[in-house]
Amino acid sequence: MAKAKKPQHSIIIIREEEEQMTGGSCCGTFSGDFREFDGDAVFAERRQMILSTGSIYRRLMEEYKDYAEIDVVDPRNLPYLIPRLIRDTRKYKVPIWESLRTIFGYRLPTIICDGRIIATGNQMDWHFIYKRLRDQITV
Amino acid sequence: MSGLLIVGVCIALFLIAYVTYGSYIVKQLDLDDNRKTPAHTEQDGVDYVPTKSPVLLGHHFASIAGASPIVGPITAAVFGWIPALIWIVLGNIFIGAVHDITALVASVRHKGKSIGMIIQDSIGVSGKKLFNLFAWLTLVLIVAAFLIITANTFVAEPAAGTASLLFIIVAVLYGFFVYRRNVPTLPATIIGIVALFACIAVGLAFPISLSQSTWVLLMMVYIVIASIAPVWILLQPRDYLNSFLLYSLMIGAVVGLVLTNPTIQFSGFSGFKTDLGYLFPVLFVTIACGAVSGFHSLVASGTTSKQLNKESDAKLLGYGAMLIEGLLAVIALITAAMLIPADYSNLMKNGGPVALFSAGVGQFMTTLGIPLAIGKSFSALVVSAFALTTLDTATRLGRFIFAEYFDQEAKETGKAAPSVLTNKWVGTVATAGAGGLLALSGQWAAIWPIFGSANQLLGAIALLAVSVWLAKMGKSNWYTKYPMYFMFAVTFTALVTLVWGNLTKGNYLISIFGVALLILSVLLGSLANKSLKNIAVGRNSGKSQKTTA
Repeated sequence: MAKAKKPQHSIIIIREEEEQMTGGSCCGTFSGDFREFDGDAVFAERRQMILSTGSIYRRLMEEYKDYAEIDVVDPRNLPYLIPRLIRDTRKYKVPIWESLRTIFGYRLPTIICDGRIIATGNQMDWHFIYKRLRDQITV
Repeated sequence: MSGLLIVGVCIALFLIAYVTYGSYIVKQLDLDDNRKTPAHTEQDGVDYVPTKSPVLLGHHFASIAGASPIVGPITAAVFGWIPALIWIVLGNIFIGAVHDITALVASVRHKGKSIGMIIQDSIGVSGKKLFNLFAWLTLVLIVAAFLIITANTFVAEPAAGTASLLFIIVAVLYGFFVYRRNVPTLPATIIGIVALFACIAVGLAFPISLSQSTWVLLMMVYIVIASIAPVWILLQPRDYLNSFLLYSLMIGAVVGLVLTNPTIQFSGFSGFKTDLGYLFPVLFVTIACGAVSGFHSLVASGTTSKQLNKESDAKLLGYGAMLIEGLLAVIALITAAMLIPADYSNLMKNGGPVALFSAGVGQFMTTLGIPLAIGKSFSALVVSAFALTTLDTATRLGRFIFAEYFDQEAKETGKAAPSVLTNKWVGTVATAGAGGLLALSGQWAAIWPIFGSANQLLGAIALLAVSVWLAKMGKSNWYTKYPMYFMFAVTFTALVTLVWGNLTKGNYLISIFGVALLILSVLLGSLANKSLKNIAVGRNSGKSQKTTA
């Protein structure tokens, strides 16, 4: 069987996981088991962000699954996130100023494609994102 | 003996275990990358997201590492560093890491269901209800233990007290600018980290000296407010800033340890009986996180199982991440073992394990050119920040569990739950109040082993659920069953001796918690035993039917 071709592009969605991570250690993890209390989330604002980026993730998968590697990363996962952003900006030859903007300028949540910020903070609108991605990824 | 040599030997043992026993467990669990994980079958971009193993390792490790793998080993060093080290290494390899990987795989094979749901599937609805009760009691113990630990740290290191109060303000400002004013994350973080060091400087210049009980009362008020407030104000920003602190502390401690290469001065073995109690079972419940931790089953089945990209990744995430945490526990143990026994006793009496750890790491950091006072305050601030986050989170979750319990009861009886019992303030004050009352008893050394027992009991229950599941599948389960028997034996013995010990000393409140946990463990154990017997009967009758046919 022929090996599937590796996608040429890289898309990273930066958003927090729902639970507490660093410091919550032991008890922070109870939230994983007891999330849906009376239909509410324990960490409601995080849940809202996850739901909104979730719909964008699904659209991205529909449109770009075969062309881009799509990852969701928590900003608290520093040992992975920072080296990955540096690697992407170098791999896709992003100019230095734009690289600095990618590494230092993202808000929560953010979508980064090939080392460049596509949408960040309150720009999480699918039409806006799709328009920006069309310029970057040829399908 | 060289501390660095011990760390080196432990790393080698963990690597060998990962390659050998870890691979054996993988084979037993029949991990197969052709079998699609829930991250793919249930993929929704919200909870179920296929995630590469390096990404998921970062998430998983940050979720399991914290103050507990530091506090436990330092406290247990009282038995001597050799038994503590042996338990960390063997406990990790044969129980802790096995517990984590099997809980993860069991959850994956149950469509990413949490271990609570798996328990319900295996031992019925009563098991789930008891599990809820157990969770609330454990959270109260967590609140009590960390209230005293933090208060003791602030009494011993008043600079850390000031810095921690200021850090709360920094976190609130960070939350406001990042989550409400849309300021980019990293510049805000850099300013936050600079402000954090400014907090340490202000703390050193203006230390706040208060008594232990005053700190406990202040923090009780604080956690009630913090756990009711929206998460973006405090919990979310502080958790984010904590991630920088966690990795800074780990890098500082490891690099400092390598450069310092401390000599072990503490006694290798101090005897079978110490102030904490008998080596068996107390050592095994004092070092919970760092050797085996039941809470990890919640991380594994809560988030990680829903994001596992392929089954073979479970080895790195379940087995490997636990071994990394074991290494953190070994480093914490070294900070105690490099002291002479008199200094150890003195630091434990005046400040407790966090102050001792801070003094040790502060000493390591001097080799990096960081003045001892700053290194000490920084380490104390970091572990206190973890402890404060733990307090906020525990109280918040306690409130939700409290309300849900009464809601469930009401649903079963068909009547509406009294609004007073589901009110958020009532649940919060009940959780913080119960924890605070325990904390005001000042018996930190008595509370920690009971909290450890609760953690280990959860581990035993998770191993039990997994053993039942493996038996149902008709698979060999000796590698989870024997650790489960051991963990139940440890937990029962610990709770009986701790309850008896506290009763004779007149610590009635702590004893009540111990008795409640003991009753819960007996009930859960008997439910599970019944379930296992039913499976055995079912399998035997199946065999006899086949023979008859």
